[in-house]
Amino acid sequence: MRSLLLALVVTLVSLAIAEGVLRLVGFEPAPPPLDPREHAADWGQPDPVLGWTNHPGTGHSNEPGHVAMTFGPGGERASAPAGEPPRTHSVLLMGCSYTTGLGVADDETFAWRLNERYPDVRFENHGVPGYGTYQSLLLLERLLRERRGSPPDLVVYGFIGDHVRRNAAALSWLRQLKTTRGLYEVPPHVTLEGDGLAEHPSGVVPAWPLERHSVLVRALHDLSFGPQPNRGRRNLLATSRLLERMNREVEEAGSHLLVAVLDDLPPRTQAFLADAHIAYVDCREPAFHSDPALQVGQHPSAKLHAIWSECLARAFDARGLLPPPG
Amino acid sequence: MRSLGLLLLSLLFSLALAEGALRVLAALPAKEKAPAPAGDAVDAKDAAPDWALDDPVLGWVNKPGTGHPDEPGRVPMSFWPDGERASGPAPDKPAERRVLLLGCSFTEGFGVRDDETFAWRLNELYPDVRFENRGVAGYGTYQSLLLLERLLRQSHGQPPELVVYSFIGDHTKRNVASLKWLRNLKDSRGLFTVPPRVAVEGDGLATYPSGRIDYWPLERHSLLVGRLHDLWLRMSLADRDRQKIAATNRLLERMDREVREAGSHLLVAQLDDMPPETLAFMAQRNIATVDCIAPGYKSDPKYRVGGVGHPSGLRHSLWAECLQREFEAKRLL
Repeated sequence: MRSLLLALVVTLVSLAIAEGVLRLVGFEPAPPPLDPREHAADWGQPDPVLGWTNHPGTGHSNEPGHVAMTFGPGGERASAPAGEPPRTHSVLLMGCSYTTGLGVADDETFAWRLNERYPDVRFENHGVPGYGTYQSLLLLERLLRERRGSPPDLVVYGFIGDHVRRNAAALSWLRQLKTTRGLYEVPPHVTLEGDGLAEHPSGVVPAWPLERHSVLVRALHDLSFGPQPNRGRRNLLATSRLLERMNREVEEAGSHLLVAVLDDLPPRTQAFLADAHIAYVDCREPAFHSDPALQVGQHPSAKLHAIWSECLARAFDARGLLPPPG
Repeated sequence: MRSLGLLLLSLLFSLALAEGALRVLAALPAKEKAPAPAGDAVDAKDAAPDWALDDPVLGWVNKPGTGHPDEPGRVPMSFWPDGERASGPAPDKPAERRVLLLGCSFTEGFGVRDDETFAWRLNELYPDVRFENRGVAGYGTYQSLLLLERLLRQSHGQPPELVVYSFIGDHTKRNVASLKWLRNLKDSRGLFTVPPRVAVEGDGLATYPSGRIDYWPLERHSLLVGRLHDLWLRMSLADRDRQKIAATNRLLERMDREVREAGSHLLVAQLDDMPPETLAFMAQRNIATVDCIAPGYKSDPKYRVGGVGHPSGLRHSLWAECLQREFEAKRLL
């Protein structure tokens, strides 16, 4: 009985020391749930396949200014004045908040500017904040089906390096996706499996008991997501396979893919795009992260959107990617 | 050191004893062991079917040209350049109105002539409609769905008027790549070919690409290692059988949703063995289905090729009539 008590005391003291050491070196317990009135995004809605989509109507960015963003019934960001007559050609713009234009007004997005520049072509902005390559691909597949077999003239996918960890639902990304109840919201994601990709549906990982009070419990919960050897390399390879699949499916649909690099292109991904003959254009602006004029909070400003629309227009014209004006 | 040597020796002796006992019990030399999980390589000439091609996404597809089934009579089967089974005298029947027929060897008409398949008969019954026979031998629901997604992308302005997916109960185990199914899918080297498969994950479905299960070291020489590998596979894949109905139901729901997104309609034609849970699920989700199962199929030789094989020409003509009745009763065409 005495030995048992001693073992218990030693265990508790060890746990307390471990907890203290972890706190001393800077670790923190899981943050408490957020106030939904302040933090729930009014632009998003749950989707059983995609995880989330844009909510039709008007949403507000959580960046400085909280500008209003208009979304159509299918979640497409408004990219031209309402009531415009139909256009002969169409281009689908896919991607994340950079493509959506989170933080800038409807008429400041690169999609809007391209619509002004090419009167015969309808640029549809299907960017959704938080999406990686895989979610963009799932949305693209849905859009291609809904177009009843009438393919767009071109599909432009706005890539940023952060998509790599999003595609694999890396822990660092899940930490940013905590719901207002403090749960991990796991987006649909992929993992490498043999020569292909395994696809996993979206879901929610509940918090562990005491996780919000103990660093140790939080660390154990994080560990439960599994060991992550060579995670970076594997995520890059998974992204390459997704890009390959996106390109193949766009071609099967009778269209063309252009990958527009908007920020952070990993060298391995760049090499893969070149090797696989996937068309891409580098629209990165080196000063983006240092020049406040190019930022709205953490997102690209209207000025950067204007630069991107110029960059894309140059690529369209130089490569003859769009049909000549009728 | 001496004890270690003794331990090693007794271990080796025990293993040799176990190997010998297994060989005696199996009454088969190792080189001929039939039931081993990844036994010796099969003669490629005998094993490789002449109607199939590898496909990185679908696992395999029909090979354009003429193929021969391993069924009595070995009748030739014709496939157009994109793998569609010939269902009319020429592939260029006007295609303003199209119906996609998806499924496995039962849809494809494995073992019967081109003009005996239910697809061919439907083309004769409906001269204004082109019934495309997209059945591929060995497919389950998931592979049919992957093929459907490809065909919908390729439809270039002409989505099909209707999609008929022909279901048989065996598809449930194919969808999850259960061990029972994998045992049927050995390649010419004797390895298990694993088709693309799904697994239930949370409220959704995880999908996995096609691949191969490789030999364990020494497996081709030792019955003991072969049995251990078999045991490991049985244990590690046991969960798949438990998931097969739930996974199939979710696949049918996804197929129905994607067909509707494409502006078409889905009809699930029951050709053989419908699990009651799946039938109830389809009723609950309003997924259209028609029962074309003939009770006498398994016992009456006239319904099977050569009396023992796949569905015969007679069975196909009954399916064509069953589908025709459903099209007309529900005004699907």
